[in-house]
Amino acid sequence: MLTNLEIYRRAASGQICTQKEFDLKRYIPAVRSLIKKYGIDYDPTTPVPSDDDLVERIWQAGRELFLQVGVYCVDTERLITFDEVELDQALAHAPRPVILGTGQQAKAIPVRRPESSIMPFFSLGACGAGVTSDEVFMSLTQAYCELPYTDAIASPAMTEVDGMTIVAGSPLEVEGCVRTVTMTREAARRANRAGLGIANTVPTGVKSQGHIAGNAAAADQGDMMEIGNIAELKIDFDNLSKIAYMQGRGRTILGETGPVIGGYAGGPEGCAITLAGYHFFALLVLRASVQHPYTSHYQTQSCTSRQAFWLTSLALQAITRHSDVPCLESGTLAAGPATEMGLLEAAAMSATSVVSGGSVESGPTSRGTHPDYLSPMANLFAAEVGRSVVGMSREDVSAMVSKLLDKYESRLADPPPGRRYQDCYDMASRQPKAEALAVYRRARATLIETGLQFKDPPFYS
Amino acid sequence: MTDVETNPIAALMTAFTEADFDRVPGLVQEGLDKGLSARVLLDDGLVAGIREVGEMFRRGEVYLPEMMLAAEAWQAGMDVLEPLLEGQPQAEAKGRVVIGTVKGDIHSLGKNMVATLLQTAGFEVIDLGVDVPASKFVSAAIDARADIIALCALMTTTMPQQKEVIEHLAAADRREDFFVMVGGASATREWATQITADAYGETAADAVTLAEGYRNRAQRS
Repeated sequence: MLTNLEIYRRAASGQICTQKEFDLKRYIPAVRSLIKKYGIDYDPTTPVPSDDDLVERIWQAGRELFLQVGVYCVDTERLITFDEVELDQALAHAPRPVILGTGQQAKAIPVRRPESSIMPFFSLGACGAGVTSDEVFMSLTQAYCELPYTDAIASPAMTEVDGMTIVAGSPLEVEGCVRTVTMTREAARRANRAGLGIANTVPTGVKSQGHIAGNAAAADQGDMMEIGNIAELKIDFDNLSKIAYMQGRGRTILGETGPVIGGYAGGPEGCAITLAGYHFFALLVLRASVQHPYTSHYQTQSCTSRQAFWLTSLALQAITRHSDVPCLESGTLAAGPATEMGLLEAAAMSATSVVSGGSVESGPTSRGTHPDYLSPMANLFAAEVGRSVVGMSREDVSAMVSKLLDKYESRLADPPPGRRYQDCYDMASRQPKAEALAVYRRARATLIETGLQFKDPPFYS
Repeated sequence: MTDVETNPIAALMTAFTEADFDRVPGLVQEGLDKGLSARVLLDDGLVAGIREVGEMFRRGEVYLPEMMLAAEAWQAGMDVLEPLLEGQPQAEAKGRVVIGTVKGDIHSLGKNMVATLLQTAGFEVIDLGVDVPASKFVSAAIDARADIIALCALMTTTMPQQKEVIEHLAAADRREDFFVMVGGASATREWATQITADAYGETAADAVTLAEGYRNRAQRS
């Protein structure tokens, strides 16, 4: 497979192209033309499609998109392009298996296919959503680690260091990144989970110096750094620098790839093709051992809409049918903590991912944009539902997800905000308060009404 | 024959609304050949067409690619008309907006959506790009005699740079000269109030509504 330095060489010597030309003359026309060529048509009646022919067309279109368009390096204003053989080699020689955590907490992320009977991997946590204090960070992260299904932790982001607001690129960001990893590790130890893998070591950081500092200071072989695209099929030196560091240390990269519905990729059809094509971007450019595919809507920022499920399911199915590189599918929930809507969103997203061949990185509530509006309950619920749909057919999960969407999709644009972690959980015991517990019980009952048979008893009794 | 086949203005509108953008410059030329004036083709064809695409975006019927392609088509049509419009009074823009993603933040999508939507709504937009230092917003707004400054930030760690721009404006004693709008995935109404921004837009469409509201108030006063 191509080395990361070869990617840099191409970024430095490829065809010169302005960003506007890349968007308007290469990427957008290619997406529009491939939608027509492969007959991709969004179907709102099946949030989890089971049409294998459509899945195959999405894969072919995604592959063709990546070959036709290539990748744009915004720093050199040049194209990084690839040929068929390089794509085949990337699939054949991708690194695997991926084991997160160390010692007793070491666990492999399994290779799953659509409708797989293999239990998925659950990376649970705040996934980079912000918290306002060290106290909330520690209690919340320990609570995530104490969930019985947490195979790896996805840390929150700090917004302050010693009362000073963290600013990207500043020394505070570096310090915040170091503290994030150190404190996450300590939270896992307090939960008797020392050695638990961290799926996203330094969400506090934006810039490479913060990422590198956090990883160098406290991350180990069982952790991953999450590195993503900056816009559709674009990369920059800062992210290539993170990759160079991780490759140099032989560490694992989680490749975050997320087209925005309504953005450069257009509607759900263009996003589905782009997300499938992003598998090659993840392997060849991000050097990822695990792909983290997701999408969100430009207006609601929601990852749990009907369109989002349709396109992520298709892309996930396409990728997992053709690749042995595992996917951790995730996204943010629109509703806030301790709301039934938030739990139903988590259930629908987890079920969609699991039946489509993915594992689950259950993300934050409140769109991840309101500090402290987080709770372990949605993550727990995502895992309980995800475990329970293993072995179900895509048709049955699609019907279940449709029923859940019917209950909440009209509120995606204006979701209930819920309550902060410190308001719906007891910070010392890390247990939900009575009102939150009632919400959890109602959501379990709602899922049972949709026909789901839970494999496990409720964690919160 | 249908109206679209015989009427160049109707055909132009259809080209915009049905995303058949490559046809726009040819249809403009066809309109000229049929005797329509450049002013009519501009106002009733190009301007009306691109504004309709903007409205379709607001209604969620089309997405960013159609907006960007429509803006390109509008420019291609203008290239045909411009020599004929020389010397004629130009329609005044609704206002001048300096826009960018703040320092430390390289995300362009939301900023581009707002910029394109403002253009389609009739504003003159000066796009400073991404990772823009506070001082550059200030100097660009002063140099361009802008009415509005629009600040985008996606990350919680880059939002403080929105505050930084406002503080730079105050330090230059120019805070009152500009209507400052903030937005981005992590920004909230509370944040906008806290940093004394003039407005917060949750969506790209909000930004246009806010900018238009400001212009209407400014024109009345």
